[in-house]
Amino acid sequence: MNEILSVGLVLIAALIAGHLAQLIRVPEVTGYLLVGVAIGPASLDLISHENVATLGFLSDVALGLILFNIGSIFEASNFRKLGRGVVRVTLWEATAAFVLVGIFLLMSGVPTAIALLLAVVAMETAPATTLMVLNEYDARGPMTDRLLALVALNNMYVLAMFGVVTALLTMADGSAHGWLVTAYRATHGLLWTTFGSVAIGALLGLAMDFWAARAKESGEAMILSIGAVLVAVGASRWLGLSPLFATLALGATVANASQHGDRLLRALGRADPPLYAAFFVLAGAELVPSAVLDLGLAGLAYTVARAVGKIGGARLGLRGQDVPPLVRQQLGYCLVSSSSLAVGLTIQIRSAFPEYAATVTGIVLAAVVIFEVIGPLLTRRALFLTGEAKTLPAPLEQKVGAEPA
Amino acid sequence: MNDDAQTGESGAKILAATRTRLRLIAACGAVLLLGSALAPQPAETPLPSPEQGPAPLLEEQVQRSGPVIEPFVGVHDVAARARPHVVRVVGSVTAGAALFSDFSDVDRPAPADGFGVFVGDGYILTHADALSGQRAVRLANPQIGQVDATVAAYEPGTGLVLLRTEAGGPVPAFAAGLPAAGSLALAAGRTASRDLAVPMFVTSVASDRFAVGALGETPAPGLPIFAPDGTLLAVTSGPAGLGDVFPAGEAVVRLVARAEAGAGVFGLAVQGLTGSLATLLGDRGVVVTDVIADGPAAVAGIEPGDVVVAVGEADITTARTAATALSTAAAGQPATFRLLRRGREQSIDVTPVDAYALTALSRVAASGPLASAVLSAPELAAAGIPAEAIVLRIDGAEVVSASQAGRALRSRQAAVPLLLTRDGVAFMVVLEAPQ
Repeated sequence: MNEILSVGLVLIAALIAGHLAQLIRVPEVTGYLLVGVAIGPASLDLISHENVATLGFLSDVALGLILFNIGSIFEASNFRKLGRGVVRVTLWEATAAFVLVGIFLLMSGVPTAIALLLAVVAMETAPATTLMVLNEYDARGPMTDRLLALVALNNMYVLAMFGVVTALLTMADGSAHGWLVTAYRATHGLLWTTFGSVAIGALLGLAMDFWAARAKESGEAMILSIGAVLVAVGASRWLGLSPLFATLALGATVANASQHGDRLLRALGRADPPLYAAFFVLAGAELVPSAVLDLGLAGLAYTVARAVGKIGGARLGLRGQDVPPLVRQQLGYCLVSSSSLAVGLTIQIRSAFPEYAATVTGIVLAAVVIFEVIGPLLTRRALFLTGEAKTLPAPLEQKVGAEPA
Repeated sequence: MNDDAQTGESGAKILAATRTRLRLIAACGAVLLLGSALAPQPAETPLPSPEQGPAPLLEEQVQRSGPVIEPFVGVHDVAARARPHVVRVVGSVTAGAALFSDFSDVDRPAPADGFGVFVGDGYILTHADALSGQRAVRLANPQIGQVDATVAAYEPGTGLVLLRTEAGGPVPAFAAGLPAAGSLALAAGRTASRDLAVPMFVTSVASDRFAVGALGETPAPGLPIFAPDGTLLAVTSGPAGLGDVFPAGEAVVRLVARAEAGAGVFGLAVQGLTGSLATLLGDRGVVVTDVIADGPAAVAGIEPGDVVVAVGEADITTARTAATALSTAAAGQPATFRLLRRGREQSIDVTPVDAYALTALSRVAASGPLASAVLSAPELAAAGIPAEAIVLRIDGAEVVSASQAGRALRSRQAAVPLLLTRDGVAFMVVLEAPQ
């Protein structure tokens, strides 16, 4: 199938999926993912692996825009209100997931190195899925405010931990280059990835803001925004940096530079829908549902421990903070989604530690299928229970007895 | 998107001031310059695919390359990624490591020359033809330098050898199952001075093996064969490095089991007693058809024609029970064979050795008259003897010439057992008494 037909099929499938999702009251992102599974290689194979590979460009654009959007949460005056609280929650929920997954896997007989790597992957929360559900229900409130910042900080924390754990494992493995050289490589890699990416994003953000003053029309603003995001992604990849950090830094810089940044972000909103839809349909096309059948004891331990760690850790992190009890109860459920970074980390593990590749890949891919399906559903439920979603579905209206917001 | 989260106060932004922006630009420039200047030399690890970096952009990696397989961008890319997994056999640690070479005129063993591949936990997979009978060899690999390795297990049916070394190396992913006939493969490695990348193609596939042909240079034995996706298929076999090869993943499992069990061999071949053979020799036990010269059975005094009725505590009734008893022996632990030789029972203790020790023993080509030279066509057909088989023994007596064999057969009054060989396999048949 040629690429143009593939793109058209993806968008039409996304349109149908979105309507069906609304009918059966599940988040649109769930519909997109499931229709992606249906038309992808795992089922009807209307979109093959080669098609997905060729259409990867669309995913690049979409994910960059998502992260750029999330980066705007770091606007100073807004973040000052949340700052220490969300950092604390991030540390608690991610670390709890890491510790619980590590312990459960070791008890299941998994070798220490594999348990450590999987524990790091388990810390991740999917930024794209979370943002999509929040957007769909036009969510507003204390939980929503915290969620976006949490997701951004979570991904940064995970990347840093991944760098530390892989460096430790490489040194423990007895590298032929000596522990000092390995430690230097690991430290430089971590610092370069973090600060170099932020530097790229910040420079581009300032340049973007400079041009935004001259981009009067919304069309020009959209071109500037998409162009800057793609330059951030491409430049960071070219320099061996992190596109995730770079696009987050780009969004944060634009949000903090001037009022033009707000206009740029609003202009982007009009370009989002088809790109996001295509992104999630393609993500669904790459899911391997049959992997769930091979989950095994270790995979089950990973899945259960991760969910418990995320939900419980968030609750513990919110202790002492001035949030409604329902938010304290439900925030953790919104952190359960997992896909993008987990899969990306798995690919890096496969390159660095090929002897662990099969085990890690099998468990993560199966868990991603589970969390990608239940994550958006849990997020939606939490939004409605806390009253932060704009509309309530009929069953919940009867339960909560509240008027729609 | 939540507008409140975006705009915050309507007042000045923290990066609005020109001075602040200039400071930020200077800081970012300094970070980028310093980071580039202080970057360490890249480690000699398998080359990443072009789309990878230290932190790839998430889902796009899955969508570009599929859930497990990295993209195939060319033969050179596969070869570059494969080479760190390959070791070169550079020589033997000690000369003359053959087990039974206590003769002063024994030939110096040929130098070990070939390749192997890391398969995990300090194990390296190679082929016996790469070792030239050496038990301890020296290996070279860019990552671990030069290390010594010893034979941990040998599989006679395939010729594959598992070496054990103290240093570990990068292990490739194993290909699942067998490749399809006609598919491409690549044998990759590195000699002292050259990088090797030999394109191969799969010429035929059976249930447990496949055959390969090479385009261009003939690969040395033990050279690993990779699929285009970089997974390990097999290692080359035979002196010419071509022909039947065996899936590496399954072979490693078998070899590790052998290494852990310490399996031993006796150096003999047996045949079940059925039909005319059972009538002649009895229906109890199996008959020995071949013993390897200087092997454990030969050294202990077992001869072709002996009927083995028990090994240790196990009674031998059929070829299958014999195979079980003989293949589960532990190297170095003597086993008592109860034999029938010309109707008289005797016991002989035989100490099995590990299979690899037998590869150091030289096999003398069987010699004798062709069956067609000593028997008529009707007799050959009646006994089911191939015309090109070589007659070794008649009723237990060695055959020295066609005339001697002919006289012995013409003068027989009763059915006699004949020991023959064909294509290196010895077998026994009964020649009935003349009508």
